[in-house]
Amino acid sequence: MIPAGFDYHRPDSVQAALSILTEHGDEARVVAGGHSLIPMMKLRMAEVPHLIDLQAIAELKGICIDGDTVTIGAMTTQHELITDDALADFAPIMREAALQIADPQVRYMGTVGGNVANGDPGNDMPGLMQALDAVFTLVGPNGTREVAARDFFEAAYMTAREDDEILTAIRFQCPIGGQAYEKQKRKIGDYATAAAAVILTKEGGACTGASIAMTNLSDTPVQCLASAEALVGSACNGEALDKAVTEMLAVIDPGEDNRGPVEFKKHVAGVILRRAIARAWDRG
Amino acid sequence: MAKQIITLTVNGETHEVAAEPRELLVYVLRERLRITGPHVGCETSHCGACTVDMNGKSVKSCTVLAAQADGAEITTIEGLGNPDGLHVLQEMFREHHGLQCGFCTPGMITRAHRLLQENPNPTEEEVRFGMAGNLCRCTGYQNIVKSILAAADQMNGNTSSSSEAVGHSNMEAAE
Amino acid sequence: MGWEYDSGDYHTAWDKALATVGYDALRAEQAQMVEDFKAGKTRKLMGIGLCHFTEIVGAGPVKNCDILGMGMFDSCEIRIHPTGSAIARLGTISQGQGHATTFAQILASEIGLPADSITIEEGDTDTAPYGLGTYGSRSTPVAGAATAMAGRKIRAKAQMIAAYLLEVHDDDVEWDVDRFVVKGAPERFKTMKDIAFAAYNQAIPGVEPGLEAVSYYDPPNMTYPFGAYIAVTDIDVDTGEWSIRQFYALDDCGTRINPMVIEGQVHGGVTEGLAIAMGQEIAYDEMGNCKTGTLMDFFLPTAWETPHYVTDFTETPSPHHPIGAKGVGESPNVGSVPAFSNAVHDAFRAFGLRQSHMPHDHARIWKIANGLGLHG
Ligand SMILES: Cc1cc2nc3c(=O)[nH]c(=O)nc-3n(C[C@H](O)[C@H](O)[C@H](O)COP(=O)(O)OP(=O)(O)OC[C@H]3O[C@@H](n4cnc5c(N)ncnc54)[C@H](O)[C@@H]3O)c2cc1C
Ligand code: FES
Ligand code: FES
Repeated sequence: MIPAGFDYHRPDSVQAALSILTEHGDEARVVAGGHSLIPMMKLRMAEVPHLIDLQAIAELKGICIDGDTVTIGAMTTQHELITDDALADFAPIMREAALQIADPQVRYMGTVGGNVANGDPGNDMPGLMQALDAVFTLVGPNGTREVAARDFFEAAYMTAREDDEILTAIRFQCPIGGQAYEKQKRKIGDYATAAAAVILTKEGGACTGASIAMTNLSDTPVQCLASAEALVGSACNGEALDKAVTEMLAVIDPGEDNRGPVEFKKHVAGVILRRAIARAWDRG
Repeated sequence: MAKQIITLTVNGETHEVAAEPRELLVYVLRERLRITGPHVGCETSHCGACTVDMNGKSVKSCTVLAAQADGAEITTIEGLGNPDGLHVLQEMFREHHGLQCGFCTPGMITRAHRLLQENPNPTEEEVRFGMAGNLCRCTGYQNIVKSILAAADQMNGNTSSSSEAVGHSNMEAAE
Repeated sequence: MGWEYDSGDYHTAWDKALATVGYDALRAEQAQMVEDFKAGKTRKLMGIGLCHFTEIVGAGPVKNCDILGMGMFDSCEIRIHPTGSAIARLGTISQGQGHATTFAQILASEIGLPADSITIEEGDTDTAPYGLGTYGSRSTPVAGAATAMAGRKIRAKAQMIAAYLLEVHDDDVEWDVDRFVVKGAPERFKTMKDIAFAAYNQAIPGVEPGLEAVSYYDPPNMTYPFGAYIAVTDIDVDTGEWSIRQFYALDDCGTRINPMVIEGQVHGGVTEGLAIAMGQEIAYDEMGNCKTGTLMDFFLPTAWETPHYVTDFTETPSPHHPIGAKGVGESPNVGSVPAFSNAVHDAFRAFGLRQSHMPHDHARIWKIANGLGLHG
């Protein structure tokens, strides 16, 4: 399994990468860690006559916490997310989620930018980014624009990013309150059967704000606004919790695959969400 | 597609090889440089038999393009030890029956080497989590885990073995 | 006429297994968990999977067993070098089962040369004696027996040489670990190393030079290893997730040659059983495409899903094997699949489960729970 031939480019700035991207149009594609793209190229499901490697672009790397905002360069690897203690203090859910992605070797290579730009419903970062209400910075020939994670994912492998744009960074505010990333998978190295990202704030025993997104239960991550709303004002239990689950089930649309039938996945989604809410609540 | 010259420093020795950019690193190592420690097990980034150390990271060399590796520092099992001077990990794998057919072993040891660099004193649980990118069909992992814990002990200068102890749930330290 | 078990002490093994895992306490804990579950205090159940098995390995007697007409004997050819080192060639082949260790040890104890001076060579069809190869735990029962028998031929010739060198009658020397000793005069002896040198370098009346032997071993019966396996599994009723809390494997493979090699065979075989019982499947879609063609979908557990095993043994030698060994490679596969699956099944026994289907992956376990009305 060897990919089809391509011309290889390794620019050292975003501008240089953009000009190659512009020059070759849909003949060109960027590669970050390559751990989603290379398998597709090997299967000849992706053909990329011009491969633009982003590894030498220093400006795409690093985690920068400035007050209550963090900016993470697109080329930051999952391993770096896990080992960055400042980030773990700032947003513990990042480490918790990243540890549940793939296996150690994949996490050394896979990047946060690639994980969200890929648009694979199985990827864990997109749902998490929606829960965090992150913003993605896209740089294209016409300049820079920002797109909210909540508006970014359109369909499987389809995102709001134009073909000639590069995702340079993700940015989000320090999440306040309890947070949890809960994922069920068959084994290490597997994508989610169901996963839930939950962030809750509470005051005096009542939930004052909630943010919820589900992974691998539809062809995009599913932000669950009505579920979050159902929790506000409650102690995240009883009827409010049941309603949150019901509302989530109304917006997901899982398909049958080797992980199991639809009925199973829906049930598991409900269980995983309840657990994530309970844990986030305890941590809040 | 045209070949290009790729510079790789493998086990301390710098090589310039002509390779197509699309070639997989594991094939460049095995077929162009005849460094056959990294094995091809699945070719789909699941088994870890092809694991090498690239710029201080454990990577599956079946999922790295030759061109991506241009300029990289690579360590394979051959760079860790040889029959005349075994690496502690190799010695412990031998001592504790950490291999049977040996197919997974170069990947296992190369990965374990990086794991111990990052976490010199892992618990059994951390070893299991940190080695989860490497499949073994023969050993059921138990003696692999034992060998790695014993190597950690040796590298830390401990003589008493804590290798039977099961540690606390702390997956972060495994990373 | 059917086959006849060679030997077995099943009750001892079973009692030891139950005692070691603390079976009664586990059952009490399980009953408590069922009560707690019914009272709504937990959503977990625990299953205890028991499996007592016998294996039939070491094929096999030539009168009964053949492959394409070739009888299922196996073989060993030994050459002792004048220097006292040796090479043994066998008709089997190791894929990691440790033959070089095991067969060298068998031979070392038969002929008294150190195992590390014995080279084991397998798999070169230019030089290997005829044999039927390695599978079905037959290497030690058949080729291992041939090794011991060929070793005994070496020793028989060595006895004549030793007696000549010591100037006594053949019957006046006896074997002691690595030497022939004159009966009643332990200070008078010849080591196997001395004998090997003499075999090539000294003219001994009535004895051909050299020290070599070959044995083609036709086993009189199969061997019947057995074991007692216990898996303790926690089940998440709501998600179908399982985790193996404890796995105990007691194997009786007759005479134990190298405990570490045996343990390695058991660890690997049990892990294969875990994979088969808990997830491995070659599934197809309606168009006939294989759906489980990668190691993400075809379940091969990592070190994380695999538990820390406890291995144990009893030792009931085979009466018909030259050293009493029965073989162990296949046993863990035989015992572990039912042990794992029985544990899942057992978790739901209190709720009336009569039948469930392998592999017990999350979705199927969930379906069992769902079918029993446990999801409310
Ligand atoms: C065995 C295995 C198991 C895995 N398990 C999981 C899992 O459980 N959860 C999970 O989330 N992921 C999983 N992954 C995927 C892994 O995390 C990928 O590395 C990740 O999805 C993509 O990141 P990357 O840097 O490798 O991207 P690449 O593969 O390099 O790129 C992916 C796509 O994004 C585009 N892209 C990348 N970077 C940019 C950018 N900066 N701007 C614009 N476009 C860009 C590329 O053109 C490509 O189309 C697994 C992968 C493997 C091999
Ligand atoms: S060959 Fe690279 S992971 Fe299997
Ligand atoms: S020793 Fe055979 S695959 Fe690991």
